[in-house]
Amino acid sequence: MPQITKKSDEFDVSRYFLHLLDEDKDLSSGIAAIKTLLWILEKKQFGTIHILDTTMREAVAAMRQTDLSIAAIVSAGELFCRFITLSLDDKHMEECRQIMLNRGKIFLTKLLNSRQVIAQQAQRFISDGCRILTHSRSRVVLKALIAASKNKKSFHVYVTQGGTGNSGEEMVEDLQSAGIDCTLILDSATGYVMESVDFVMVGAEAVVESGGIINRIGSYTMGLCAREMKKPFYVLAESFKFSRLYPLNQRDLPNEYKYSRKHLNDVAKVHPLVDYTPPAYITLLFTDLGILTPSAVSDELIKLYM
Amino acid sequence: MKEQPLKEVTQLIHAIKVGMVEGSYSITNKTLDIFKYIIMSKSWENADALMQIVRAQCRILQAALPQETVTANIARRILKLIREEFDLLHAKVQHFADDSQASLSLHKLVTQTSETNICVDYSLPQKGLREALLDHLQEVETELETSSENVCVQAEEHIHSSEIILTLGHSRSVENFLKRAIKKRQFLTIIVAECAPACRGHNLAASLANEKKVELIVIPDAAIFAMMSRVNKVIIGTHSVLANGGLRAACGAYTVGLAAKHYSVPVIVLAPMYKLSPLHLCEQDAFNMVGCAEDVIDYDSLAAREAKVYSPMFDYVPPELVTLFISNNGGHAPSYVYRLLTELYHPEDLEI
Amino acid sequence: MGCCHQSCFWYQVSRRLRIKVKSPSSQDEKTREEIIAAREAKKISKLGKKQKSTLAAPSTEPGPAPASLTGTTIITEVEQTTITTKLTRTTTTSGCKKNVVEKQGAVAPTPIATVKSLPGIPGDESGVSEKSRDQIKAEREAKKAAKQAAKANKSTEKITQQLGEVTLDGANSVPGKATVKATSLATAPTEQKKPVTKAERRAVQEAQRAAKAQAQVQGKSSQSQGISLNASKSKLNTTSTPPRETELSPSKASSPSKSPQAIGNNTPKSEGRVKLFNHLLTADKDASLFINDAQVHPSIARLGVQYAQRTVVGSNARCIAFLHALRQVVNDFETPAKKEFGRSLDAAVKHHVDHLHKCRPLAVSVFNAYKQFKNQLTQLPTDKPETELKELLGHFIDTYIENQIGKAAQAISSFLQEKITDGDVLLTFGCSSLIHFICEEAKRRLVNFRVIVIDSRPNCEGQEMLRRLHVHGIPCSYVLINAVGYVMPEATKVLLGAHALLANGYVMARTGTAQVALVAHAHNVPVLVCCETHKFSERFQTDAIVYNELSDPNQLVRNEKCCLNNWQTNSRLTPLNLNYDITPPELVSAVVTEVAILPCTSVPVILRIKPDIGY
Repeated sequence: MPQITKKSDEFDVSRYFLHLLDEDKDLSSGIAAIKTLLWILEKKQFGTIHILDTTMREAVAAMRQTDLSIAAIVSAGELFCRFITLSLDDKHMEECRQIMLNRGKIFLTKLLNSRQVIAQQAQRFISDGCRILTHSRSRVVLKALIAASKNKKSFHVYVTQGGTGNSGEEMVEDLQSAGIDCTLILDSATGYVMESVDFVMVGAEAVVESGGIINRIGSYTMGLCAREMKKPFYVLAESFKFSRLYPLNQRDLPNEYKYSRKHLNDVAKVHPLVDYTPPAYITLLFTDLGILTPSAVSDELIKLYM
Repeated sequence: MKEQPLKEVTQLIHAIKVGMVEGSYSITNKTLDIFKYIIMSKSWENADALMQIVRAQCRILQAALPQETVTANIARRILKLIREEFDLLHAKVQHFADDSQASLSLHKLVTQTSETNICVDYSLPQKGLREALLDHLQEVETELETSSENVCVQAEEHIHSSEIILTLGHSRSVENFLKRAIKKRQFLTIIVAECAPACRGHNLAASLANEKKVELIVIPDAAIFAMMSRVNKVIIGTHSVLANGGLRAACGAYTVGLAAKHYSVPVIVLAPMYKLSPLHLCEQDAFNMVGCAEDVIDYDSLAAREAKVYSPMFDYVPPELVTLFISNNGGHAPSYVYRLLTELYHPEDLEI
Repeated sequence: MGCCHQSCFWYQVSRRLRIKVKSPSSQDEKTREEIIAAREAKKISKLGKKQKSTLAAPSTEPGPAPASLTGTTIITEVEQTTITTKLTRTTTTSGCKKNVVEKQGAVAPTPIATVKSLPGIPGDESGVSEKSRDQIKAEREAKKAAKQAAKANKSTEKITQQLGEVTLDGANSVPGKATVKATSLATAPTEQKKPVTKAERRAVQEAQRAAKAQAQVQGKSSQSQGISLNASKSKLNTTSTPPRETELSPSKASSPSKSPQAIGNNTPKSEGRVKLFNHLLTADKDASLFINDAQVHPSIARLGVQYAQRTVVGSNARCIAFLHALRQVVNDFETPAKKEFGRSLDAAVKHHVDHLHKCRPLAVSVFNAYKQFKNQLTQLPTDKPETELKELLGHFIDTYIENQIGKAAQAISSFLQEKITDGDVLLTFGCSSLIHFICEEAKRRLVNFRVIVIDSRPNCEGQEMLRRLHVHGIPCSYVLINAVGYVMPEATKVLLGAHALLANGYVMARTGTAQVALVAHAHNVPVLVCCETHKFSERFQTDAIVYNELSDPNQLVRNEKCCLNNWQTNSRLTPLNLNYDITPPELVSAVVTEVAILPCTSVPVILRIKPDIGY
């Protein structure tokens, strides 16, 4: 009996999750994950905190089964679980649940606004006539650039194709419809273009404990080039993407992050979806918590988890 | 600008522009006096009004002197002071051990218990605020006065015997620091780069030459790279410290930093806390200013007829080139500056 | 003469030049004249600094005073043969040039004699160019006669003449002594040639040595000159011509007074030395110790003083000046009886080179030229008469100047013209004749570019560069070296000159060059170092301290109100004035030589394929 419910739960979870994402294209998968978990919190009854915790983790596992960017899901889920189990006094279960629901809603509201905050912070760094290089498609970066163009700034954006898929083209389309000059370039042309740009601005799928980022494949190369050419490398990331991972190198990144689920058996033959950019190559991180240096990320995570 | 400057503020601006008051320390002192005067005056009833006045005056000072960030820094300190004292007296919000509402953090995001914002209403009148503020201000003043001494005291920890130290231009902190080091350590050799065109390095050298047991070498700016291969440490002062750990220092400091990096020589920057500013490089339209070009080349020389001559005052030194900051609280790495800033200033005051 | 592969090499270079450079071939004919003109111009501008003109010699030419008065005391690299015309125009007025052109038909020795005797007239800017051919010839004959007499008698007459010329130069170029010298030497032209007895001369010399002992520092120079003035009135001269009427006294008195400031890091007190540089400090060099040397040719002696006084600065200028003086030495050389021409000349030249080295450590270009010359001497045919050998040597010297400096400059410029495009912002440091030539060429080709000149204390050579560029109408900016980080983002290329290229790929250049390269590297701006192959050296060096040249620390003191004013009194304080620094090869993108554009690490390759250069 419990098994069946579990299965249906799982099924429900991933379906609800995907449904959320289908509804709103602009929604980050991390936020969708949090919304899903909140939904579970509302719908389900729990006897003890322990069961609640387990259910949450199972739900996160279920969402990970979908083939979407796993990093954001994991970090958002972690954060949510953490905050549920944080400083709860010995209250009645029902009370706890109400508290947690309330918190969850506040949390969600704040996070929904995070992109706006980040875009606002990035305005100061985008000056008239500057040339920006960005990697493939990132909604945060898109929002920041559109906000800048609304502020009557004129600049030029170089967008890389971003590997397989047409995410680069999508980004270019979005930018052009907002009236921003842009050029689509090959991923391999990053080195060529780097000397003519003023700075690099990318999004991130996750920000890891070392202060580095996990982002679409090709970001590491871009970071290397930027450092060599002495150009600033800015990362725009919401705070729920902070993850407790600490990769030492590309190989150290867990396989689930790098490859989609169906290829996990045969990793030697497939190319990875994401790569890890170490903190040495990142100049500044723009988050809704403020403009941070990479060393400040660890500070934030330590404060939260300890 | 809708705000009217106070008479004292106008006087201070004038004094700074004319050159009667110069040096970050004096400017900070005078600004602190102004704010103390504001606090002591009767023109405000509640914390909110006071903060408005402080902000207004600070905006005026910033607009008049965009490079002198110490004025804005002191204003931010005072604003934070006001908030703290208010909260202390109100005892309304339960604070956590360290930050309380001071900074945004994940932790804070996650642990909010009530739906209402933590935003405290500062417009409630509060008794005893004035006295509390003045008390606390006294502490700030003392800290300011002893900042130079506290920086110098650390000289022994960072300089060993028979060192060859390079410095640039003339900074009061560096002068006192080196004097202390000379007293405590033997056989120091100090190379002073003169920092044209003002050549203030000559003043430093002349001042240090009165000490005993030290060897002083004065070099032109062009010889910095040539001598750097023999230097053990570089000790420089700075005009202000930016939010990412970079510096706004005297023109020429960038070259010193690069040369030091090339030869892997540690660069120690003496920066008392009042020089820490939460601004980033990009945010300052007026990051640099140019001085009088007459010192660079004579106006009436044949060579200068059609040439454009520049004499910039400041240099941006990126944080990668700095090894250590020594402030009155101790030593910090450049990557830790963000933390010092969160402790000094309230996040809502970053934009005045 | 010369190895065949050298001629092949030059063939290639000249072939390339023929394609690229449109400079008229007639310029080659005039080269010698232009060199002389340039040297003349240099002397004139040096003289032009003197305000007084007390001599009666009439002047019809409008003196070069205006231009040379405003010119800086440093006469930086002037002689590049093919560009000499333009340079002559910039540094002098047309008056001098006309004068030179007049003498076009003259035999080689004559113009040189003109050049040599020019400084003989102190304080007279305009009268300098007024020498008539007869006068010059007469002077020359007299000089030669005197020299013969001197050699025959082994008297100190020659010393008199040499001293006169040498120290007259010295007298002229010492700043601040204009008035005193002018008056003291005013009596010179009016004196007649009288035979001088040895005893008299010795007495005079004793008087001067006493005077020299008194003259320790600048302030005492006038006093000694007073003494010498008295002594000079009684002194008799053997020379027939006004310029030769030198007084031993002012010369000797002036030499000790100028020696403290002329020679190296020589302070009256022994403190004020930087321990790091103890190995570079030689013993107190007193110019009068060796300026009396009987075996030093006057032109070399004068050159030595010019080196010491920093009148002639710059690698190319020093090399050309040296070669001219050397040619004069060769021409005036008389083989001693029962000795071979080649070997004795070798010994004599070596002696002269040592003398120059004492005045100021030899530049790498000068040293290389000397090595080449020595090489040439060993290859002289033994059966030819002396005059023909001398002609061969003279021709060799001319070819050396023409090829190694003149044509090389053209080749380098043609390489670089491809790199300079419209909209370029070139950044350069200090004053380099080669860079100036390149900019000039680019401007002639109507390229739209601008130049940023970086300068540094204490010499401020960049002002000279600024002046020259301004003449061509090139838009320029000017900053001091501490602001190089401020202007570097605008620059698209950095062009630097070099003093020498070391065998391990390091570039030896004026102090500050390495810093400019460092900041350029940090901003990803390509750094191009332009260096002719005759400046390549086989030395290895990794930092600027193990071998360098120290110059006068007093130059760092800005004015009387400067805090460093009495640094000598404070034993702890030392200003340090380094001349050169070393740029590591990783900061340099490319080295442009006349052979090719090379990476900095390929210097040993060039040394290998061109074995006769670079010592």
